[in-house]
Amino acid sequence: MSGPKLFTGHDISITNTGTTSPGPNPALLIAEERSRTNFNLTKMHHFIEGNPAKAEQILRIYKSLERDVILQSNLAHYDNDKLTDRELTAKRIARLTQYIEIESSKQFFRRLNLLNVYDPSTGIRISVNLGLFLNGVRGNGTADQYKFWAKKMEAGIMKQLYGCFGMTELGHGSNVAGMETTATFDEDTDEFIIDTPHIGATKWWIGGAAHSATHSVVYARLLIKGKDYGVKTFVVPLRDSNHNLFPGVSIGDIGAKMGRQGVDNGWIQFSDVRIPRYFMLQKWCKVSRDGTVALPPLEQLSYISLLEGRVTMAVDSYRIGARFTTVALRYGVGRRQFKNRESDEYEKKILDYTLHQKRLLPNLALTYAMAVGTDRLEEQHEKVILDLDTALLSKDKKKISEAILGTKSLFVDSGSMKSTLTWLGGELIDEARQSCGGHGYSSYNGFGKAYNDWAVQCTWEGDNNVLAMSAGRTIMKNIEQIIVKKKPIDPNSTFAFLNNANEVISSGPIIKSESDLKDLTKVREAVEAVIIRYAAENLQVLKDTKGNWDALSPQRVELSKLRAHHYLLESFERKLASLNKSDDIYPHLVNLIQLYFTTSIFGAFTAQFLRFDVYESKIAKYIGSTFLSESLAKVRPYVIGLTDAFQQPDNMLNSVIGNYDGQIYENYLDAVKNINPIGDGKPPYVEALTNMLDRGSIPERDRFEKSDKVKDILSN
Amino acid sequence: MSISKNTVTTSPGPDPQTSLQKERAKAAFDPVKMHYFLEGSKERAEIIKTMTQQMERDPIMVADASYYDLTKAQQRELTAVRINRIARYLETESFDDFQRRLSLLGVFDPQTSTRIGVNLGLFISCIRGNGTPEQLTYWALNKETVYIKGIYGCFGMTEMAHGSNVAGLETTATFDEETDEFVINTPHIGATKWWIGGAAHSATHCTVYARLKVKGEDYGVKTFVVPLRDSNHDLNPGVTVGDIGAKMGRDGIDNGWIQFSNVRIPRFFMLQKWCKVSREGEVTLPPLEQLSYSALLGGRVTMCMDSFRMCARMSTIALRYAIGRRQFKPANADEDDPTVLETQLIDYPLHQKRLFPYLAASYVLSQGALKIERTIESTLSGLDDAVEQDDYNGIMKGIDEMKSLFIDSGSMKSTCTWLAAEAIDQCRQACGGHGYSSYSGFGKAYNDWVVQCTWEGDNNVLAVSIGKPLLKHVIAVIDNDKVVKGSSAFLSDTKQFVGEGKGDKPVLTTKDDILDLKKFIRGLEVCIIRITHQSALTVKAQKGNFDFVGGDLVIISKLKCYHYLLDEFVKQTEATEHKDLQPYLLDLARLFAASLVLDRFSGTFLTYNVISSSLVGKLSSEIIPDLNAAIRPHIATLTDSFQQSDMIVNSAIANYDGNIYENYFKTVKQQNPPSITKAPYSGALEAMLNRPSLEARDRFEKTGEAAFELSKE
Ligand SMILES: Cc1cc2nc3c(=O)[nH]c(=O)nc-3n(C[C@H](O)[C@H](O)[C@H](O)COP(=O)(O)OP(=O)(O)OC[C@H]3O[C@@H](n4cnc5c(N)ncnc54)[C@H](O)[C@@H]3O)c2cc1C
Ligand SMILES: Cc1cc2nc3c(=O)[nH]c(=O)nc-3n(C[C@H](O)[C@H](O)[C@H](O)COP(=O)(O)OP(=O)(O)OC[C@H]3O[C@@H](n4cnc5c(N)ncnc54)[C@H](O)[C@@H]3O)c2cc1C
Repeated sequence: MSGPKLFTGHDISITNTGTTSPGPNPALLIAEERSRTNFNLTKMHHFIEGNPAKAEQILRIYKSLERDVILQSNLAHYDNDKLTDRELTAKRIARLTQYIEIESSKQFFRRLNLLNVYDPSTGIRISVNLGLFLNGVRGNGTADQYKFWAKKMEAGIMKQLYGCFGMTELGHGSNVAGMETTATFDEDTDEFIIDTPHIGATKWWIGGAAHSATHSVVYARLLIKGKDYGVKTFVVPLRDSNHNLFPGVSIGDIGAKMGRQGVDNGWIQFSDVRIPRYFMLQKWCKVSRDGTVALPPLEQLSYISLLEGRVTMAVDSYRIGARFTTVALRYGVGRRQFKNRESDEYEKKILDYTLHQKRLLPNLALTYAMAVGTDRLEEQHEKVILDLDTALLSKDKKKISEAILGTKSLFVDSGSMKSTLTWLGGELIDEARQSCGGHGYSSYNGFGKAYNDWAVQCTWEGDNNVLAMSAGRTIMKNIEQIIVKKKPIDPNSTFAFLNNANEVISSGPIIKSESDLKDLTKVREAVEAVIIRYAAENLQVLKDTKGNWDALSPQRVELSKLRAHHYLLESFERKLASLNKSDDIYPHLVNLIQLYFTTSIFGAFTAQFLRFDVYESKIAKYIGSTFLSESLAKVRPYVIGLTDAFQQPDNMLNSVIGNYDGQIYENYLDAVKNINPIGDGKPPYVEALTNMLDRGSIPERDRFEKSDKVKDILSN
Repeated sequence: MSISKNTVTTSPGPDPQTSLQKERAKAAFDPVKMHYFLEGSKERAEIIKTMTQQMERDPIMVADASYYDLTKAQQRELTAVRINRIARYLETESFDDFQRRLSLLGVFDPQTSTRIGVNLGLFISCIRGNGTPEQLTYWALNKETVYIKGIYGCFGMTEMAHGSNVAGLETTATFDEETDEFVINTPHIGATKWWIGGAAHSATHCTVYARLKVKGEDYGVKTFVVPLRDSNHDLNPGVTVGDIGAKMGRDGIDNGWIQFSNVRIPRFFMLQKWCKVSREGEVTLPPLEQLSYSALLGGRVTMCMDSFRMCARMSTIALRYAIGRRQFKPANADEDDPTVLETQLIDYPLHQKRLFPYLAASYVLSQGALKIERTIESTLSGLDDAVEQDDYNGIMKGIDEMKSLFIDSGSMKSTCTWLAAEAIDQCRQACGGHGYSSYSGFGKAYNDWVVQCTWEGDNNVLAVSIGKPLLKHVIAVIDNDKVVKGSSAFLSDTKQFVGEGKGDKPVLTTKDDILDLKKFIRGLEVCIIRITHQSALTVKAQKGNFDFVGGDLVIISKLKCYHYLLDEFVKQTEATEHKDLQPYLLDLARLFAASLVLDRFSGTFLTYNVISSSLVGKLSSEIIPDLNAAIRPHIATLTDSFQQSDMIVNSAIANYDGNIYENYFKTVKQQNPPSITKAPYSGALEAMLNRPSLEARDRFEKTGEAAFELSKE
């Protein structure tokens, strides 16, 4: 790949600016590689997004976002301080209320998810209300209660009410059952008294509480006549219609955070705040006028309201991956560094270094895999919710139990997907940043803010480790059911793939030859074998340690990660099967999935594949060298087209070195100059500097008190 | 049931303080003695403590939580004010002591130390490395730069289009024989000097890397001192400087961009220790020019020490928090029994597996960082002496040492800065949501830190360049029985471990092979030998193209660093006079070896048959958990041994007293007074919530009534 000819003579003519020798021309390099694209971009985009209708909808929303003067992104926002960000976020929310009033909810939430890619603060500040608060009400309240708060009080269109989600406390996060805020029933007045007994029970991190929220869903222990019924949920008003805090409600700002500074997270303390009994959400648990408590069986289903957030975060991982692989790969093509030989006319594009390819191309492949896998997860989620609603309405026992089975699968799948993909998303942003060298560190390229905003995805709405441990445990339980209890998994469960565990457990190598790697089914079976054998080994350890699950936590986390990769692989395999092999996108997808499993699965878990005899070290060496090189080489020529296919416009990328036009240096210098006007080149605090540089000598500043002359005087 | 203490509580809250104090009370060794070990000697440890005390009492140097709420403009100013302050210490203390002070400052305020570092470190080092002794005396001493007085230097190497490839820089310095001047010029946008720390606001002078052009010939990149601002701090004509603007971190540094439009400097502003241009434009290029690169070594060495201190700070935070924080009652506990407390995070094996390796890394790094610091001192001064005395053998020996130092410092800088970045991130995650609060310190630490992986030698570029000579060594051993010297001497044994019948014999097969560190180090050597050898074969097959094995070179560089670290740590542990500390130190080293080296690279160890697969299985099920359990009782003391005071740690959730929740809550309230109950922009929110209905805002134009009117025929 030799560089294109940029100029002929040595006399340089002035263009828009004066240059005295030819500068770099990244735009040409990117355009040249773009012209190699030998597949239909639109088709590819449809494949990535799942179907043409969804893809079209997304493009229309992109267009609307980039034209809306309030919602469109702006490089200058990277300079915002916390207060400015908070205000911007509030303005964007106000703007979005105009859309929510006229759009279908599906369209609006898609809009929100897309906005989330470049403005996650606004995304989550809205989600605490429309997502967490309302889902909390829907999941725990009766249909009428939901209707009241969402529709009558208009919280559903962000009017009158603004809800927040008061679960976490200073002393408790993951352990929801351990929350210590109390809701004591006062039979005399037919009220609950909400109280924060001590500092540890202070509600903490509550998004929207500091500035926006008028109401909160509060998780509190139900106490009646001295008895503790565990944690239930209550709607507690925080601010009156003049936006003033109610008496007994103390709220403060959590202050500076690593990221998402546009969100007004707050802390809340309740000092004997009274709410009417009917503010308790009582779909599952009911308290009667005389304080009798009814606890029906299906309470566990209230958790289902938390799943939407997890699914969304898995999808977010794909979109953030698309955003930053686009930026880093465009940069990798446009940037040159080092000549191969002194005699070469041009330096090499950094993406032509194998090492650079190894750092970035696997992430591109992973992003494709995430796109397909999370589209399936989204559909799985929609179906489960629908099935459950229908089943509960029909009161048909069989349907209900089927729906519950689906919920259980989704619970585990979304847990391992959320945790695995948000971790990978974080790593991806970081690697992409590093691959842009120093320029990756500039705020205007988006990486810093994106990483800081992203990192919390690994913690909130189910800490990744806690989620992964629980998913890993389920996998082990399933294996136990199959190989110890000899009972197969229900074929409708997404874990039915484990059912051949008894054969696979000791069937020896799965990938027996180099050519097996070309067979996607074999590869998937290899991943299944690792999961099965690993889980079985852990069961043995569990037995040896007399049921000490904690000792197995690291292994459970790893199992959960393997399962997430299995899910991605399986989804891709199915989706690929739906394509026509003669389709021009087909070979590229095969190359991408091959690169994906070579690096993200085999590369990342080599030790397990070797240890469980899924393949031999000879194959491992082959995978890590020749096979990997081949896989990289197949993808390398088309990276521009493959990232263009994500179809994220400049407005979404919001990264000055990643623009579509590839004018890396001009765009970048322009932005830096515009946002940081040069002025007279002196900072506002210039005196602090000049006073320092021009300060007098030490003897002078010592008033010459230590001079020889003084010595003579003072020594006499 | 209510109790009134400083505040009223209606039931007893969490008591993290007692948890920490209980553990501290059980200290099995003296943390102060351990600190001596960590800092290399009692004397050095004492200096560090004196300086800590000085800074935490100094009204300008002292840091607290307010640091985390500063805007960019405030950070820039605070940084400038601190530089002014610290200059006063500098005037009266030795250079060594000042270095120590900067190293300490780098832990809690890295942007200030770097903003100083571009002047005292990069600018001056560049003059020392490239200028004659007289030039150094003039610019550094006569002009009082070393006291941060008179002038302020910056380091103008990187350009917009060139960073790693220094030889490819495009700024030009054209000799004008008529006026005996150089003309410094930025020919096009790509040659704009970029990222130059100090340029935007502070610097008066810059060491500029530019292509020397004399009579039409290009002599490659040389260095020149170019004044940027006059004594009124106004920019000189032809010099355009701007602010780089917002960065991921280190906003307190005024990084700038510079364009030169035919700026003239006298010929004698060229730094000419190695390359000289005469009045007539004759260029002399003496042989030892490569030595000028030593200018960059100092920074790399400093970053190793930074990595140690950062890992120490982060583990202190996360581990103190893990001791105080409780979450979930034990599985078999009676949920209703109030005497059963929830489990301390630190007692979860997963939590141990996540955090203890970074504690171990802090310990192991400390000795490696000290060693590399000693090595650079002796190497540079030895070489300076030899050059001064024209001692050929001395120079050659010095050059050998430099080469070795280049490898060691490069693999250390890249590996340790990566490790520290990872440590910050993992420690943050281990603190759950509270790790995300700026007041816990992780966010800023991470954002400030990560640039260490990019600047002064991009980590990947460095790692590749370190891997290459190692490959060449191995080839030479195979082909010519070369005897390798220095820290890579073990490569001389290559033939014993590669090839038919020898290349696939595991060396680590029993638990003892890991726990006995000498055996483990041997195993590590074999792993390095085999992967290096395999890569060398690949390169040969690829006709000398190293590019193909770039990924392997990075792994080799990392393993090489771990080898250097463990080797030195074991040596120092054996040598220490505090024999009672040895068992703890050894366990930490074992954990480092088992987790960060072996477990992390188990795929490589297995692929190259260095370890048996059953032993890898034992790693997670037995060896690492056992080591964690052995270290567990000493965690509080092991972190106290870093002797970082609350000001240095600067984390609201990790004060020495362990009073996590009270401290944190107090900080949050102090920084965000709850008495301000409405946001300044509350109007926007209230207007939104209380907006009229859509129909009203549509002026009722879409109502049935309107429809009726408008549909009339
Ligand atoms: C920016 C932000 C916004 C938020 N917004 C909201 C909000 O609007 N409403 C709300 O209610 N909450 C909110 N949260 C809180 C969030 O949901 C919690 O932080 C999260 O649930 C984790 O809980 P925790 O922080 O208490 O961590 P902990 O549960 O204390 O966990 C701390 C660490 O211990 C580990 N750990 C915990 N238990 C175990 C175990 N059994 N075994 C092994 N390891 C364990 C975890 O992996 C973690 O690393 C927000 C948090 C942040 C940072
Ligand atoms: C905050 C900050 C402050 C700075 N301060 C200064 C300063 O004061 N003075 C100064 O002169 N400079 C300064 N720098 C610049 C810094 O030294 C450079 O960013 C650094 O040298 C890396 O160069 P680059 O950014 O041009 O990356 P590049 O060299 O362009 O590298 C880009 C990417 O390509 C990869 N790559 C490059 N070459 C190869 C190869 N041969 N093989 C494989 N991969 C390769 C790299 O790993 C990297 O990921 C600063 C930078 C930052 C971010």
